[in-house]
Amino acid sequence: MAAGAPRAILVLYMGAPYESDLLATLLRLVEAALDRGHRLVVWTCGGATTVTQRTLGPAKPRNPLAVAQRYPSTARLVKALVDKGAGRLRWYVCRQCLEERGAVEQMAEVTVKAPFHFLPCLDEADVCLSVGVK
Amino acid sequence: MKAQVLAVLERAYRGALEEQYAHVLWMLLSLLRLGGGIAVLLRGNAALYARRGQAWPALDVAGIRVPPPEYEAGVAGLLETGGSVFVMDADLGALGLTAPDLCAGVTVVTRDDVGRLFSSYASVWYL
Amino acid sequence: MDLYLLVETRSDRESLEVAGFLETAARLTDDGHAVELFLVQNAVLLARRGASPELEALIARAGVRVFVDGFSAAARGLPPASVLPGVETAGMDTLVDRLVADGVKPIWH
Repeated sequence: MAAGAPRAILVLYMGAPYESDLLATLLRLVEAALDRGHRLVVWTCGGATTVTQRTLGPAKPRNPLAVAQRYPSTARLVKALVDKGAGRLRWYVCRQCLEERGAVEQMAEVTVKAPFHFLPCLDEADVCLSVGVK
Repeated sequence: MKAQVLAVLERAYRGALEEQYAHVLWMLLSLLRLGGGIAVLLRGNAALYARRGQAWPALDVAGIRVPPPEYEAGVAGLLETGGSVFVMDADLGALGLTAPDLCAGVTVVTRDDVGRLFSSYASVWYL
Repeated sequence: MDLYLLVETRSDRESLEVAGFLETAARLTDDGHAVELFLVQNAVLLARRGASPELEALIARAGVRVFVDGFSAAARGLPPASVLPGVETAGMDTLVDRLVADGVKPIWH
């Protein structure tokens, strides 16, 4: 494939939020890939299915020590990336994992998929990265 | 699934109550049964999953029995379905285990084998 | 021979598994493979001068390239002057470029 050509990247995002700065790194990586013209599928598994819950709303709870400051929720940040990607970022959420965690109300910008639907995604991808631990 | 995957498990004994059956070995076995090419390397404490004759103490919470995670069944299932399961001799030694302590079919490898093992698979995932 | 893009996210103070990952990197070079190691999140602390003899030994090997994520380093108060010689400060754009390069086998730890 020619250097610089857009690639299809599959990222398997496993593991729970709050354990490390992985989500921040992932979103930075996704945005950098979009900026460089690539297409991405992010498949979320395990605790990662909780970051796109509709019930998170667009903002974190008010900071009582800085009430005027607003803080974006993880859901809002993922939505912003999906919007920026304009079709080049598909964010999938594993149904088995989200049901196990009660994260059944997912935001509209993501797609709930049956378990292991990432297998066809794997076949379609030029490169696959698995990040986080289930 | 065109890619052959080596899944490396290092962290062990997490989420037995939350996941019960749906732990990573179950996920990998399910993938294998769906036709995915999966092999597993158990490192560190995860080498304990390869033991035969594992006993899981009963866990009752307020009278509700929590089913055990059945890691051994996961390993056995992977082997029966044609998958490969590897453990490293150094990890066994650190845990006081030897080859006879392991499920039949588990392959013991050395540090010198790791590079070759990684090269043998299209993808290596730390899960 | 293969080109491995290894991404380490933790410091050796968090887990003994990090030493195992660096050892794997060394073994891969022993087998003649090229290794690019990208340190991100707490793993950037490995790149502080004097912090990790294992990383210093790895950098000295032929066929090894080591990057440290500038964002993570700045967040953890690691100024460029305190980073090991031979380590390149980079961002996610570099990680993406290395990820999609032909023949790369990425492994995230």
